[in-house]
Amino acid sequence: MLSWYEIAHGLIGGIFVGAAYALLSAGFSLTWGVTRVINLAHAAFALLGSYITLTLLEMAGIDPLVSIVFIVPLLFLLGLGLHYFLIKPTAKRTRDITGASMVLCFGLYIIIENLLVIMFKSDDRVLHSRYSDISLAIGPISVALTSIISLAIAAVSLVIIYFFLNRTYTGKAVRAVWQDREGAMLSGINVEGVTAITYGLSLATAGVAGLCLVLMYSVTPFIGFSWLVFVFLVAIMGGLGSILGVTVGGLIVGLIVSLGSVFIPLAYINLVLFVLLIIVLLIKPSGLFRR
Amino acid sequence: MMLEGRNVTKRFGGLLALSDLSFQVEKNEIVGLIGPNGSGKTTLFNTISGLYKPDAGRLFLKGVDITRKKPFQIARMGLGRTFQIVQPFEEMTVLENVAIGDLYGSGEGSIMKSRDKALEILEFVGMKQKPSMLAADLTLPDRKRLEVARALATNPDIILLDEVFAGLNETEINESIALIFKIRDNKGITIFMVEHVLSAIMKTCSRVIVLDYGQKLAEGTPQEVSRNPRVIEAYLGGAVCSK
Amino acid sequence: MNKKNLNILKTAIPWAVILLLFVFPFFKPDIFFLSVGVILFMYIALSSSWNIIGGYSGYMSFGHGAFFGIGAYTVALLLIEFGYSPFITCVLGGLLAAVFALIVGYPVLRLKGPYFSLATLCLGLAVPVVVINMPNELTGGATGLFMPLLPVDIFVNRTIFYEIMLALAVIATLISRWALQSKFGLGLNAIRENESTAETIGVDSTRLKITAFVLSAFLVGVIGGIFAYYRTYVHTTTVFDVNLSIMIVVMALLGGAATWQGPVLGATILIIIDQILISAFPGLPAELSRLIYGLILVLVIMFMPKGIIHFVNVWLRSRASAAGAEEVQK
Repeated sequence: MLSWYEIAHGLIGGIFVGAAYALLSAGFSLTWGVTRVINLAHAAFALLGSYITLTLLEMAGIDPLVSIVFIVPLLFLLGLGLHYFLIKPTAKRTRDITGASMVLCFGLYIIIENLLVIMFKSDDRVLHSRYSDISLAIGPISVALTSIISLAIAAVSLVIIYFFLNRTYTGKAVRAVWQDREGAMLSGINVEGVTAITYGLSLATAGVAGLCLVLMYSVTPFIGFSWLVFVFLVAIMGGLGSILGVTVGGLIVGLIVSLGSVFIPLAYINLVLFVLLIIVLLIKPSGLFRR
Repeated sequence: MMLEGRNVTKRFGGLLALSDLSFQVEKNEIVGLIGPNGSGKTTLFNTISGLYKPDAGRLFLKGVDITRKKPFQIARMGLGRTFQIVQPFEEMTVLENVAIGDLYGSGEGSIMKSRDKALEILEFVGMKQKPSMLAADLTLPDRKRLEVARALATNPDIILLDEVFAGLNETEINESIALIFKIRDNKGITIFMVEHVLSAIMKTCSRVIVLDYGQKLAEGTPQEVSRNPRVIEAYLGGAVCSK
Repeated sequence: MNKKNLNILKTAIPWAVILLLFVFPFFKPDIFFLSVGVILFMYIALSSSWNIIGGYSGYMSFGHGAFFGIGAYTVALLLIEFGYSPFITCVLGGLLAAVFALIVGYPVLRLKGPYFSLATLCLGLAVPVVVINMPNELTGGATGLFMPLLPVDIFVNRTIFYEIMLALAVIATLISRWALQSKFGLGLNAIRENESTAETIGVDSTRLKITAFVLSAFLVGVIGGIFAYYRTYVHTTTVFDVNLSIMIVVMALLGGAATWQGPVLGATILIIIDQILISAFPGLPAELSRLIYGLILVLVIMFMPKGIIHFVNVWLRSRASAAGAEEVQK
């Protein structure tokens, strides 16, 4: 028998996961839009965020919330590095950066994954912070405090990205480059700098998403791939290119996963997701929320 | 009748790009299509060649209804076209670009035969010395010629030329005008061309259709059209005076 | 050396290499080399088959693992249930994969660029979910299916699969070469360069794409069938491996996806690097060798983003023109 309790539980769970996936997908969507690069290593960078959080807590007792201060600048720098040392030199040598970047980022993905195995072994790792064993009661439903923190971080981050893209000059420049690279260049936008910032932002948000996810789930160095699949689903569902779309896409995917597990066997949920995605693509080939 | 449109209408969302437009192009004519930017010229070409489907009205090629046909079917029925923004297959050689037109556009033919045919056409448009160059490495005038060559290779009865003169200098324009007459006279291909370079229109076209806001504003010989007050008001005025 | 001799040499060398590879097992080499050969030839065949749709037409499928798995399960079931030989039923596996490609191809090939790639990736992930949840009697569910071994000793067994995979690699490469140099291939190339322009010069893009997709799926299905019998065990995690789907793409892109030689070269290089890292340095931890492998991928594609073949061609051409200039100076 299904109870309202279970359904409500599924709903709330879906929002928690969905927000984290949305944040994870936002950066992927950004770099795709601005540079036509399919960053297959995106989830691996998120995983870096997870492991930084774990390490800081275990080695130095640093609170997961404080670790954001370390994750954001570090991943931002990695993003700049990715652009200046890998993507840009490659793009110079070919017209079709999409194909080449897939191999490049796949290689990067392998490197990060195995680096993590070497440094942290391949066992399941769980974050044991001072928030871990606390639950809050929302009506009859009890919710883990870590999930609420994760939701808050993801939501705040998405809002920040949204305002950055829509209210600041640099953010508007990012959107301009996204829509029309040559036009942006002609109108005097520093396309080079904007692209670099996009990569920094993309990886920084990925790192924060990794923090959100490790607050809720255990991680292994190999989990990056299944995260990547969700990134694909969310980014495409929401349409590559809109923070609002990514947020809604993330919530849809999160709710399907979470609510779905109430109604149908776990194994079929992915099937439902994939079939749904293909249907969405066929009806609206550019995603649900794109023009 | 080579090409005919009856009451063609095309909308993009709320925007009426072509509105109840009727036109005719007779065999062996050179017809010009002019109008201000955004008046629907390229939209009309895209609709004729099947890239857009009209919302209302019908299109006929040599008397056959092509309204619901796909672009490749229309191409095989004898309609060739070039694009305003040239679109060569950049990573392929000049020869391959043209040979594909022959292989797919004009029906059968083996690879070997198409290569010979392609060389012939390249000579016809005056670029036979560069068959093995990559299309990406061509200059703009050569890219435009390549587009014409590729369209010619499909063995068309009518060819739609979308601004083949744009971006060319005086000498290149004169070469292109000569080429247009050659296409009509030597190959018997009807020509329907969008053009901004008015002097070129004056020299080549026997008839001009003027579009404004997706509607036909005027039609007649270049001289008639250029004297038409409505046309002058809408668009020609300044341009004609300056010439 | 004159040009004619050079051309003869160009055809003779590949066939000589194939002949050498063919007779290699008769010199009783270490069985390890035969196993490497099986995997190497398999990846050459897979990547060449993928290239017909992925490289020539630019529709980069990330779901070819689905076709591989369909072929593998078909062969396994027909052997276990009816005792039909996989060497024959692999063709049926290929046909089934082709039919599946035909059905999904119509909707999916309407999608462009990354949307197509990601939709096929989802297909590749969805098919094994269906297979693993089918009734256990049919697909073995989560346990998988075990097949009887060929009744020969291990060396003969390896030799048989070595030769079959070699043959498949040669066939797939020949088909992919034919496809590139034919009217079919030129049409696919035009689609990759600009699909709507291609349509306006008479290229029936829908039919060409479907044909390429189905042909590609058929070959991959056949290869999957043979692989299943080689392993004598099929399970969703081994024959529907997403890594396989991605590997064959990476191999083709690394070698040069617009060429027929690209996948052959890409697969050879990656498999050999992989094997060297694993076996030449037995002390090396697996993850370190994987890391080096990733590093090589990154470096190679950074400097040769259009693929190795393209890079070599440009280099040869510049050398030839430099030599030509020298001649003139003399």
